[in-house]
Amino acid sequence: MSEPALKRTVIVANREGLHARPAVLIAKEARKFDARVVIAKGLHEVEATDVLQLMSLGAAQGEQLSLEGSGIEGREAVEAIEQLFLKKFDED
Amino acid sequence: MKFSDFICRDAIRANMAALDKEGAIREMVQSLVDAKRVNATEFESIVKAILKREELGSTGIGRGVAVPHTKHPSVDRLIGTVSVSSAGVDFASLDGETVNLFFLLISPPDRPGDHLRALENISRQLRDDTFCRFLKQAKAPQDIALLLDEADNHQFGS
Repeated sequence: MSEPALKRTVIVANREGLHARPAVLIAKEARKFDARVVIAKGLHEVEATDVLQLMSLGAAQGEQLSLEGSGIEGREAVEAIEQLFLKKFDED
Repeated sequence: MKFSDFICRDAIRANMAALDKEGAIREMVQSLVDAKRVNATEFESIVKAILKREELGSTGIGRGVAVPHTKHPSVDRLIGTVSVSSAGVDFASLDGETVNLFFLLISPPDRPGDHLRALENISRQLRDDTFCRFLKQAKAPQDIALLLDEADNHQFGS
């Protein structure tokens, strides 16, 4: 049985937005967990493990995204990805 | 943003000769010099900047696609080009696969928004598997240009 889904809202804080490097960092982090994490900008939902999909969000500085995790390590995965946003992907 | 807003048609190449990362980047920047979109005197500086960016983490984003890029003061607006390698290039990609399809972007230092919108466009269009496959199979620059035009007109995947 899977754990209940965990939802978090994050803001894109780094100046350059969700460009290639942050997208790669998120995908690498998401792949560490036995979980599925969906990241959404409004109704546009993408898999956190897929760089191409993440970049297709075109998420700029100041935009709000939602993270939703499911699966055995859903909570840990969402929290780890949230940390990347909070530390601005080590940019700026 | 559409491909036609930033892809320099005269710099599109279908038969990349390079088999390694630096060679691929040099070839693509040279194509922009040949198309007179980049000044020849800036060639080395741009290549170095793109290689430096690659050191921070490969822009090989998986599925045989790479988006090498840099900011550079010598351009006053976002420019880019597309190259296809039939042999595949080892680009230290996220998924370990070789890269067949390259989108190289050079943007002015003060315009992060344009760069983000170009990446958004590229990645949205490449979600269409048919478009992605046709691009990788293209044998001539004209074929690539045609595919980009079709994507611009139909906005696949958006």
